[in-house]
Amino acid sequence: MKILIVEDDPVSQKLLEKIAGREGYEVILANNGQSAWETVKKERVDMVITDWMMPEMDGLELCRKIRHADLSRYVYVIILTSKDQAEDAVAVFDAGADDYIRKPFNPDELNARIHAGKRIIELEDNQKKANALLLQSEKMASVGQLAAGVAHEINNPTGFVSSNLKTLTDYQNDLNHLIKHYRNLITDLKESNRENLSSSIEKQLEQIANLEDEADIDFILEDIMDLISDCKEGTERIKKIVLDLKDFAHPGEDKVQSADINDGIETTLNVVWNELKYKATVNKELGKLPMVKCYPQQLNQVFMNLFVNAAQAI
Amino acid sequence: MELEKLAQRLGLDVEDIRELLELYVETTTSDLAELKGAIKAKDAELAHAKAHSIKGASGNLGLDEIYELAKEIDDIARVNALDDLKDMVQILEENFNSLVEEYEKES
Repeated sequence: MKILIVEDDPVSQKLLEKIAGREGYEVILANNGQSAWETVKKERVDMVITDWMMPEMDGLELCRKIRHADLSRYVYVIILTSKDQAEDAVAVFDAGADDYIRKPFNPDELNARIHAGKRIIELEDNQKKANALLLQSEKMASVGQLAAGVAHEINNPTGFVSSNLKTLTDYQNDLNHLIKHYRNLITDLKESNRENLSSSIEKQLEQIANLEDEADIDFILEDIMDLISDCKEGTERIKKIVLDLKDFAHPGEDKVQSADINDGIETTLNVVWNELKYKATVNKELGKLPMVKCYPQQLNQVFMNLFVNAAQAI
Repeated sequence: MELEKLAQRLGLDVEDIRELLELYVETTTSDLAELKGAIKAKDAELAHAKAHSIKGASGNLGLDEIYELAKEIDDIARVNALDDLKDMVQILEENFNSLVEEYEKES
């Protein structure tokens, strides 16, 4: 803990420095409110012990300045006062001070008050940390909810695309089958009784042959199934990433459960794939692991941070 | 004046007390000279400031007699009654000088 002692009387300043230093606190000094204020703005000071009556800027003014400034941490202020009327205590607290001690002070009392202040500073610190954590986890929860919602929305249309693709395959198989028969018929017609064909039928046969050539029907018949199977693979991949996203996010379901760590790594890899694919080649060598009781979601968060940090370090 | 007693009272080492007293003697000697000058020049504000300074330092160090005297002088100087102060400052100075003598004997 760093304590700033503000005192214009050199003897009292030295005494305060020695008493606080003896307790193991880091002590820095100022001779008046103005230079103390400069120090508070520049350095990370946890506590200010200041005399009231000082030239340039007095202790109460210093305290008011500290309270109105937008400092990143709480600065605990103790005012040294040589007066002891009730109004003075009111003035001290009105200025925003946390505590005061009368001069001449008793060293034990001073230490006790510093200690009480330290407790408050620690409480403030803990609260600040807890707040930051809470904010972060709230943010993560809402991101998770958003991801789960988006995943759901993508799932539905992907579902009917993929089911239509199946039907389309069946239809196409039927059509292929039929076309095969048509082609057989044409070959038979041409071979068996070419002389007996009427000119109109011969013309039609020629037209059919031309059409097939122009449109490259052989290629189409071959390619159409390839296209459908590409589409199927695409929808499978959409389904998988959506499922992984849902697994990863799982809003509000984080409790201790048996989980396969490897699954978590795979899922997370999939989710952050976009971050990795242009920066690194990923080689997976996952060992056989037993089921582990853990918080899977939080573990996934750990993997995600590792992956993303590693990628960003490249 | 026993250094050990003072050290114990302030929760510090005798070495620390020595250092503090040295500083105290130095500042109080000059404060006292200025206090006398202020009274001579009828400068109540300066007299008040200097008495206040002596009071603060003496009080915090636990030098009770000097503290009480300085406090009285301070209170009087604050209401501008400088004429009453000469004798009291005289007593304060005697008190301070004997403290310095004692301190020098001990160290």
